[in-house]
Amino acid sequence: MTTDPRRVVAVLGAGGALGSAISARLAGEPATDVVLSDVSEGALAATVDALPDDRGDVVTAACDVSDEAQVQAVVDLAVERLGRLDVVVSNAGVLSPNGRIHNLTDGDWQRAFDVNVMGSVHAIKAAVGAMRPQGSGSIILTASISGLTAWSHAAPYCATKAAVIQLAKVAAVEYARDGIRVNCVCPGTFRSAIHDELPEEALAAIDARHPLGLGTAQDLVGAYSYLAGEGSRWTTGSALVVDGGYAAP
Amino acid sequence: MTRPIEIPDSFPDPGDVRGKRVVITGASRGLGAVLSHAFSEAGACLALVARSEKDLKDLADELPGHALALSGDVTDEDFNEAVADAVVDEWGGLDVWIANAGISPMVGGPRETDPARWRQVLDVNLTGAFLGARAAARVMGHGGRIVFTGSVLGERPRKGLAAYSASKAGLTALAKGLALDLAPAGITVNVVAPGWFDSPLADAWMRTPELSGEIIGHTALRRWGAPSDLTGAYRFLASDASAFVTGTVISVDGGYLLT
Repeated sequence: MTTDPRRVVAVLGAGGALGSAISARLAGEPATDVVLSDVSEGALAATVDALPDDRGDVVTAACDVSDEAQVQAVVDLAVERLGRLDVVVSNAGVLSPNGRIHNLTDGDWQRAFDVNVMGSVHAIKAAVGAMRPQGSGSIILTASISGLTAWSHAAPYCATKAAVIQLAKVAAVEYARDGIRVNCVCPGTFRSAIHDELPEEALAAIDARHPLGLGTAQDLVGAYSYLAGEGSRWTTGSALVVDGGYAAP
Repeated sequence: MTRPIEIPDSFPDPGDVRGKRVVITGASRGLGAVLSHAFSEAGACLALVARSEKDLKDLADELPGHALALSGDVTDEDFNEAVADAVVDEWGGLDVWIANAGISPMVGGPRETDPARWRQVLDVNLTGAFLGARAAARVMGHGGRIVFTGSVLGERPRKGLAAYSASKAGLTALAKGLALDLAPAGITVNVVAPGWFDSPLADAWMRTPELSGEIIGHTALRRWGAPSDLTGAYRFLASDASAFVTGTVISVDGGYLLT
């Protein structure tokens, strides 16, 4: 048996604008097979439809990242079906209801915490189980610029994304000796389905806050590709900000 | 069993600068003048530093406490050393050096920025602070305090102010580096990073409704800062209450950096 030259990538939260763009990008990279999962089977199917024709093997699974066993099952699927696990992108996340802190319920907080924080914890736990024996791997968590700056009326989202950034740093230190890198991407606001209902003025206002204009999911995927690949082999514990300059001024 | 903690007989007052021998550069105008008043009223002995001898004399006359007026250029290392010597000659030692002198010309983008202008901003804002800290470190004993006036722009630059922003970001790294270098000597080095406050440097922004509105909109407390909003942080860093604080940045910005 020779060393497997192929790379296996698992994406959690592969549905939606960003999940779909990340999946399409990584699935289309050379010698790469992917496991794609999402809590919504419909969103997952749309992502699979949008994958490039020139790609490796694709395996899909439904997965609610707040459930540790389901995340473990995705990783197990990668190892069983594709033989190894090189990259895990933990991209599943939920926005919190729009409200100031005194108007939010414990349930709002619990939901944000279960998906955004515990989903990332589950991804790391499952990923390192497969990656430590290999002595290599890259874990990429989707955080947010809201984990670095304060967004009014979004406390659970901001606080849980800040937690994700810190989680990546601690995991980076804990698993560096195992050859596993852990980083996060901090996207700014980018165009997605949640903006479809907004009037033009509202979009223009968001656009004006970004020196490079409002971005799209396509503007973010390069960061994931970089952190997944060899080019970032000495980068771990970093929070890569991709926000069109939003946080600069 | 856990060891019972020893409760001290008294706690240092975070604003107490009575009897401290303090150098303030850029003292003649804006924040420097306000700091001079605040420290003088609080009982500190002051050495006021700025370029204009007349402005300094006028300020010294207004202050309630004793103040030396030392005019000169903070980018000149010999001048900084002479200031340190003058304070030691007068009061037998030096406790606090506040490197506050700074310039902020509106220079525009890189092609509009004359390299000489760039060098001047870095010279005054960054090298001037270094030379001050260098002179202070020579004569300060254990418990010495060096405080730089930074800016929120060091973390969040603004269009047209790259040189100023870079110089202020440089002060943060300089403070951290010097904090490590001078810790064995018992000298702390910190930065106060003001947000947008009423000062001669900010006149052009305050007077332009559009710019002023933008700044207020970015400031969580929804107003321009007053110079008196800033003096507490400097007095804290100069007092015995901050003995274990070094290499840090205290932002006093009304929440400008939050968003």
